Amino acid sequence: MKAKTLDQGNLIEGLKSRDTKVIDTFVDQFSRPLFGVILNYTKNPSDAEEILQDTLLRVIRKIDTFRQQSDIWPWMKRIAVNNSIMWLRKRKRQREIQLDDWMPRFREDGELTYPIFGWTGDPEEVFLNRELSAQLYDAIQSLPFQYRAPLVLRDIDGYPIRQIASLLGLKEATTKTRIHRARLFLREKLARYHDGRT
Amino acid sequence: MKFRNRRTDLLTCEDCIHLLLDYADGSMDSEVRSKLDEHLSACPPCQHYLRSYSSCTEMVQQLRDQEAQVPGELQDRLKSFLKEQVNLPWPEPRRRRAKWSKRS
Repeated sequence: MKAKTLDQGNLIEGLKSRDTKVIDTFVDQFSRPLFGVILNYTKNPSDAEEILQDTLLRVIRKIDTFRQQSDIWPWMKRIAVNNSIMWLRKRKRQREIQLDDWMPRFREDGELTYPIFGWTGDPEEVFLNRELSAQLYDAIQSLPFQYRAPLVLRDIDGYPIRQIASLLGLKEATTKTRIHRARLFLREKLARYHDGRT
Repeated sequence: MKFRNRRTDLLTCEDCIHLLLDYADGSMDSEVRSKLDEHLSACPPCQHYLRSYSSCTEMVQQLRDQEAQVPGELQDRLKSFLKEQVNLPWPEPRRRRAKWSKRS
């Protein structure tokens, strides 16, 4: 059965007045897409659930500050992203992989030290090949937070470098370096997957 | 911009791979881009590397706005939690200590 949805105006008015039926519909309508955003930052289900709960509550409490002329989804998504970053910063460090082991290696003269396994994939393959999609998702999640956050903000959530730098309190050059290293890591992970080395 | 191979001003594979982010994102100035294109045209390993780097980035982008399954039981808990919490007062934000105040 398809869940009931509300148009933006009714949703905002209902949340402002704390209408319990509107709150139910709000959860039905937005918990899935918001959970999708949050799961890009953490795969830990209990963390993701707490972040989702806190995000939904913040959306309701901040609804008076939302400008009605614009689309509400990017505003909600930004709250979910900020919340995920804040939450994950507080977490104790987990065992982290060493990115250097996955970076390309060069000879003294700057040439690559090993043959490059040439693969290209159709981006749509991520949808069709569940194993590949799981490999990619696990690879992103295995990145240390300082690399995962800028990568997800850039490549999944589509924020510009300047905004990511400001959000994470980094210089733009550092932000770019981290995104690049994260991409190199993912490339190598997928190369080994395609090459049957995993 | 300084490259590794200063003597010839030609790019090495190492230079090339360090520049891939700007290249793939289209945020590279034309002079560097033409040097990189020159290297790429003569270096199959870097061509492979660039293709797989770009493919990988496009695949990550496909994860954008993917919806996740939220169990019905979690949705029920969220609804109860929100109805309970929304009318409670916000915790007052902690006031910043004024710069000139003395620490006790």
